[in-house]
Amino acid sequence: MENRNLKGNRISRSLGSILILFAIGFSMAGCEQPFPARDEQTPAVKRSFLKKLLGAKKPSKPGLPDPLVLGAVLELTGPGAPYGQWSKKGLDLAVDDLKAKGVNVRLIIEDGQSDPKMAVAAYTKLATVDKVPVVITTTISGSVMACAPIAERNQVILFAPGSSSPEITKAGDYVFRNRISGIYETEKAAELAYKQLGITRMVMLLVNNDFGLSYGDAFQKIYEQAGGAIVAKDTFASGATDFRVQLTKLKALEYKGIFLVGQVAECGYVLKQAKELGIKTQWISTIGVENSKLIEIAGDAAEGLIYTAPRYELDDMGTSGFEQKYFERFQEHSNLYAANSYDALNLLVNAIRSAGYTGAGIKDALYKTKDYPGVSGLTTFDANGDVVKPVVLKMVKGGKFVSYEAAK
Amino acid sequence: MSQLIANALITAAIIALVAVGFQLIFQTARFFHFAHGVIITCGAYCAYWLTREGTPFTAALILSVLFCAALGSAIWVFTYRPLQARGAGPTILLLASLGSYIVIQNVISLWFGNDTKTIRQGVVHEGLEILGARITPVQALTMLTSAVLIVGLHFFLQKTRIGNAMRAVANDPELAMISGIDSNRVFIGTFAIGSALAGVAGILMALDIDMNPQMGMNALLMGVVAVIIGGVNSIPGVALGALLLGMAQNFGVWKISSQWQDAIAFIILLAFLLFRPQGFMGKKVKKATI
Amino acid sequence: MDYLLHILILIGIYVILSLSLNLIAGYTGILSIAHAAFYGVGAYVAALMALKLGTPFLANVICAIILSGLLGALVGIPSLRIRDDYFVIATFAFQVITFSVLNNWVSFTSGPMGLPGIPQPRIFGLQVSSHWQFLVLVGICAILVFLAARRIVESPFGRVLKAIREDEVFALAAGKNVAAYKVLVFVIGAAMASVAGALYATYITFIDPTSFTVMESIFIISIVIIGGAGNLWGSVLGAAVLVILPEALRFVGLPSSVAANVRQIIYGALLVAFMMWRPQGFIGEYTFRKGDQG
Repeated sequence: MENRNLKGNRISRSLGSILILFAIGFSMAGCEQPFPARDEQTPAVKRSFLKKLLGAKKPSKPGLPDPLVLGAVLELTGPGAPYGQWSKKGLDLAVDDLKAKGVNVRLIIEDGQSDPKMAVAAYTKLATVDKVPVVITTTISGSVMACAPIAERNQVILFAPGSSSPEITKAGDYVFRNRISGIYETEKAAELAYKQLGITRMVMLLVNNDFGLSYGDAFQKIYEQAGGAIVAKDTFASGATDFRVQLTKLKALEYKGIFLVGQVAECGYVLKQAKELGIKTQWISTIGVENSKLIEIAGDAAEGLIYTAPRYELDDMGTSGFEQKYFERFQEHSNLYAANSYDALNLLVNAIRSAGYTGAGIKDALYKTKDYPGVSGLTTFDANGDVVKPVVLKMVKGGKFVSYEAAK
Repeated sequence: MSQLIANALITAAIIALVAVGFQLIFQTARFFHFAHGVIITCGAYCAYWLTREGTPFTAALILSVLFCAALGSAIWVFTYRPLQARGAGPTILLLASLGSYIVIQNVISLWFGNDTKTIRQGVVHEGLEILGARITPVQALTMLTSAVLIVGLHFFLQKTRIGNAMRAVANDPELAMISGIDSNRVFIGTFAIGSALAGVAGILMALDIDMNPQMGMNALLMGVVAVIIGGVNSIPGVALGALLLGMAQNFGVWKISSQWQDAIAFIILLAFLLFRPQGFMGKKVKKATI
Repeated sequence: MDYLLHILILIGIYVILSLSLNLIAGYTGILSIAHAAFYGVGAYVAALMALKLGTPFLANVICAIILSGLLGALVGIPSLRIRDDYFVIATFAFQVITFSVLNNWVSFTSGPMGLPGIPQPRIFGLQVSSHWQFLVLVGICAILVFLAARRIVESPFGRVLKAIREDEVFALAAGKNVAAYKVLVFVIGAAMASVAGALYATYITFIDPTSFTVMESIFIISIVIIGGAGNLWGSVLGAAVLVILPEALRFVGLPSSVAANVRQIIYGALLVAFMMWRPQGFIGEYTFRKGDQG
């Protein structure tokens, strides 16, 4: 084969083109942090990128840096995108409000892409390259669990304003959240089913990830303790749209209620296809369904669905000012994720200002926090970095999400 | 129980439709045209785009199917035909078709986004009760359309002149050429018809469970399995294969997590590949051995 | 700097993967879309052992090699009964089934929730945790794999592999136990891929089944083909190019919602383009063209 003689030339030609690619790539570097793709339009600084490339060290001057640089991993794309986007809005508002008070905060935001692998890469980069002491992580629970060991190892706070998995409670000393653990939601759901509605036999249909499985386990434990029977449990893949197999299996069994845990689109299709199959039952779910997309997909198949939600009322004391500001700026109603994120940033900045710009310092300050008056309610962290706040029941009625107590 | 059978039939209907299109192309072109899977997706998305732009519903569906036929033929003309002219073997064509699939699917993702889109109209209804199973009108339409098209294709290939020409080229391309059949036109026709069937499948799927950019891949894989276990040269065999798959997927997960569906289908495939590679109805082709 | 190291480490891992697949596909001529399965099994074995048993890295790698090798044999054996193109589909089936097991056997592998907090390697008392240290580790492994692969292809064993690639019937006629060679090359390829898996798992410290899908297999075979099938340097080149190319995209400022899709489009387009105009890849010797195709 004549290839052999020219092999050497070819190799050097090809290696040459690689080097050129390298050179082009790096010279095109207008962005500051080329790690998982950026979405935030922070000022691009070529010099500081080159500095980072060559390994610049964190400034060692005493006192707090200005601006305070914090990291954030948010789901800006993928099935978790609605929550990440709301979180971002809450954070934006917080940054602006702080600026008005003279405190400069800069958030380096990375996209978790609703994928734990991406979240891990993003978190690692923020912790080790940008060297921030805290990363606000509004991601699916699976991503939080994946990043937790990195938080512990690098002593970088992982603050999760929106993650619900009961597993997160034990995830580590450096892991905090101001959203209540899902365990309280499942308690309320189990109580509703068994005590209030008298449903003694139920089935569980769960999305096959941290969120679905941990909620399912918690619900099953509490419900069975109360005396109920879980007749069957089945799962579906995250992002699935065809549930006929699972629903057909369920149809043949004896039960009066179904505990459904999933992201909004999945739940929508489940409800729609269940109705088409003639399944008539009491659906109980979680706040994951509270999104207009549910009605878009399921139409009136969603009527009567009851779900649990951490309490967030637009006209509560403390919330109402936030709701007004939020509505003015974004032309939509605020919600728990935005409010928790807003509080998160403020809590963290307060902690930094009292204990210094280090992970360990912030950690201690957070554990000492008691009854912080945030827009999402009073916040106190327990020994696990969790909070306890009220849970309410809501339902879908007339195509709208309303309070269960009021509507029943 | 009857619901399970109904589900199996609905699943089988889509698989069969995809499978016969794929099989038609495979018979003639002699390689695995994976891009067939993305044509399915294109059918659904074309319908979505047209209806969004205001085209009347039925017209949108027809135009989408025609678009798929055109797209399939275009892939033949611009990708496979030049490759075959250079003497490329089935493996290279398979790789090229994989590459094409990836490109087109991601273009769809870029253009329309990764979330689900719908072309459904009207309210969500409880299905009609038939013999103890609930079937929605769309699902009934799916089974009917699939059956009609498959039977139609079978007769088309057997009875019409063009169909016979296609079979001739599939059987022996050189002989067909000598007999005066324009193989180029036959290939274009084959790709057009096969892709049109894929487009119909995509639309029917979307009417039932909405669409997303990845919808074609799984349908295609099931179709390929059906073709292999049914017998590469036999339409009734493929229909049987699709039926077997539908049954296996629905009944197979009765007692275990539904997540094992795909694994079951592929275990069946492996079993056939190992023990009966000619499928249900195919003829045995022996590899050269000493 | 860390970013550059990160890229180099990834390239190192993919060099190992593509070298191992090149032995199977480029030198023996068996197109296989099951490689991500070997990669995944290696990663999971290493991770599970480190997490559940606390055993040292080298021990985990050895176990990963053994188990992946067994899976390789399992995949290789049917190649004797199943014809070429159908065999590609069979490897596809193995890939999907392996993924299903990783994803659904939740009690053992944690399924879709993945395995977080994988301990970083400790070799002969040295802790490997910084990017530099990982680069050294991955670099050493990549070099070892390359040397092993070169030994293999330049040996009589390698010559038989190439003979099988060019004309299997002829090789059989010459009295070679083609069956044994095919199975063996799969075992070797799988074993090497599992090393890459162990490295990946301990580097990222988190794995879940979505890293080991059909798409990943297709990516690896693309590297082999574009780099050049049948040429070991081709695999090195291919890995470098295909890992760097999408990273270069980041600099152009593409939002991440778009970047993933654009990256895939580039891979797909490259695959088609190379098939059209340069099926031997950059510097390959084999073009998957067989003399007597029916």
